[in-house]
Amino acid sequence: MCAIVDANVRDEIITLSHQSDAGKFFYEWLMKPNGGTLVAGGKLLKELNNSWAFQQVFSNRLQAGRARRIRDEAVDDITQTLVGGGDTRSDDEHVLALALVSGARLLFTNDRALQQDFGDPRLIHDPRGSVYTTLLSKNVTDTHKDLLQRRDLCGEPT
Amino acid sequence: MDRVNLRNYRCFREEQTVRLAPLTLLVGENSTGKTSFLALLRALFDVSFGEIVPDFGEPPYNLGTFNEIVNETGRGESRLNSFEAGFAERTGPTGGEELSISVEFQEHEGFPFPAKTKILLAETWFSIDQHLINDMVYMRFGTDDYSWESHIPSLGFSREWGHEFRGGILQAIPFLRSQWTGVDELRGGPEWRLMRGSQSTVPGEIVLQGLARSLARMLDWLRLTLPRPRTPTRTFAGAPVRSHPRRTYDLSRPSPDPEGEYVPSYLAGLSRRNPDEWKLLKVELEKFGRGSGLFEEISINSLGPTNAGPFQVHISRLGDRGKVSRRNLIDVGYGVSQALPLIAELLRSQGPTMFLLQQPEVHLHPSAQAALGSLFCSVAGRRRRQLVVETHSDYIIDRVRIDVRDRESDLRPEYVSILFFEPRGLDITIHSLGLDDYGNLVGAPPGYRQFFADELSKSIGL
Repeated sequence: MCAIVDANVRDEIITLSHQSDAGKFFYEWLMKPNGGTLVAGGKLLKELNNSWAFQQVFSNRLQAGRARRIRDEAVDDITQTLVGGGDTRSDDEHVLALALVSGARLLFTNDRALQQDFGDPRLIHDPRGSVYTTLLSKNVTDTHKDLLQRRDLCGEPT
Repeated sequence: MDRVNLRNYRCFREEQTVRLAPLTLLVGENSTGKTSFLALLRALFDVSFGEIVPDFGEPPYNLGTFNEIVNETGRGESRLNSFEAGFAERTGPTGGEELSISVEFQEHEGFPFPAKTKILLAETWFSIDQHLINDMVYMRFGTDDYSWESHIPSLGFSREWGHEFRGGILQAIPFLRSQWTGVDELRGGPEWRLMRGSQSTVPGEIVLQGLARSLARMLDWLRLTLPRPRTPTRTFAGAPVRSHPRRTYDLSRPSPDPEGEYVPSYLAGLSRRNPDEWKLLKVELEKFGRGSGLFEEISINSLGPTNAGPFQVHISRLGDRGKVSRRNLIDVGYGVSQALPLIAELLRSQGPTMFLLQQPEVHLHPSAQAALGSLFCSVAGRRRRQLVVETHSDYIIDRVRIDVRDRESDLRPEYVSILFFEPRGLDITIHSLGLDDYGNLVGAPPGYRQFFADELSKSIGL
């Protein structure tokens, strides 16, 4: 399964002092043998890379074949198209573009507007996007568990 | 070689087929068969291209006798009496056909001997069986429908160039080169006898003509690809620890060895015999030297009045404020003398076509290891040389991924194969991994590099 991590939840996943239970659960899912694939590229990767710990984790996952670096130019092109379309509620077109280019359909974010955009089938489809969030609960819930057990959230790249 | 298969060899019991590419990286824990795999590649190369009976004990490998090389089942079964291996590669004017060679090794006088060899091109096959008991070489060829057989007495042992030649493919190929005359042989000539086929009727003229054309193509491949006897083609099989540097060298006739002991003499000889070629090689060596941070310049300093006199290898490095420091090879770090044999062999114009390298990163700083990764990409990207590299260096692998992603050389993603050797009980499974066009690893099995994931989690306290 392919997942995108938004910059606003990065530290909740990989920084010991900020880690929530659901963030830790997500981290362990990324690092375990049958876990998920982390997808990053474009402006979002620049935002995430401000953290040394994230750089370490992303590099580690790339070496293990459990992360995919997406070409910046491809993400930027789709971002411009989405910005021009004016159909988004958030200003995170680069995150949506990353999902479209890579095929990743699971997003960990606590940004409400982006959550709405990611679940909007007019923007993210085949399959629809799903959101992992800790806005409702920092503890691990059945919803969190169900999301990370799904195997259908790596769509075809656009 | 594009694909290799093996069975009942060392720790590889089950039949496995793995993908080779112009640059193949072998990764995995210790004692998972990576060096055994390299030794097998050299053996296949020797049987098929060098017309040499493979010696699994020849340095840098030391795999022992047949009993130590054939798979030890460990399951209470009796010991096996053969192991098999083979390879396939694209051939033909457009590379659109696949030719495969498979070899069955049997025990002979305590060591593995390539008793049966089979060559397959499209629907036509050609096999050579060396009967060790009656000392005859049986040659057969045909298709599913018809086959023909001929046999000749084995010539017995001969030793040349320090290697053993004996019968089998080594004898059959010269025979075919000189004896095969075409379709007339199939009509019942004295040499070839119609043996059997799924068809009960004698083949008609059209079938015969088609078979003759197929066999002629295969023989063309053999004639064009295989070297003449007495000029055996060898792989370069590099050892993990290379030569000890010396302050002064005596010029000697270079004789390749896994430690690269011959390289200083080769460089000195080249600089004296062919200064233009030496200049070109020097430029390439220094390009790597600068990229790796190992040295700025390399030079040969002749001692004495004649071209046959002793010499020294000097290395220049940039010091403070741009000052150049020139030193003897023995007086600079061990990394330079360890890297030099390898990079010289990779970069020289007249060299082997296949390189089998064990841990080339030994003694090198990570920046030099990364530069070595770039050098591998550059050499393999030109497609004239195939590199198979056993490595524990993340810096080499990362640099290969980066250079593929950034298109720093002509090495395309499909020109890279990463073979992961994974222990499963007493057996080893080889996983073929690749790169996508942005340098991402594809095809990694669950658990690949799990040790590193666990270490990182501990390191960052998670």
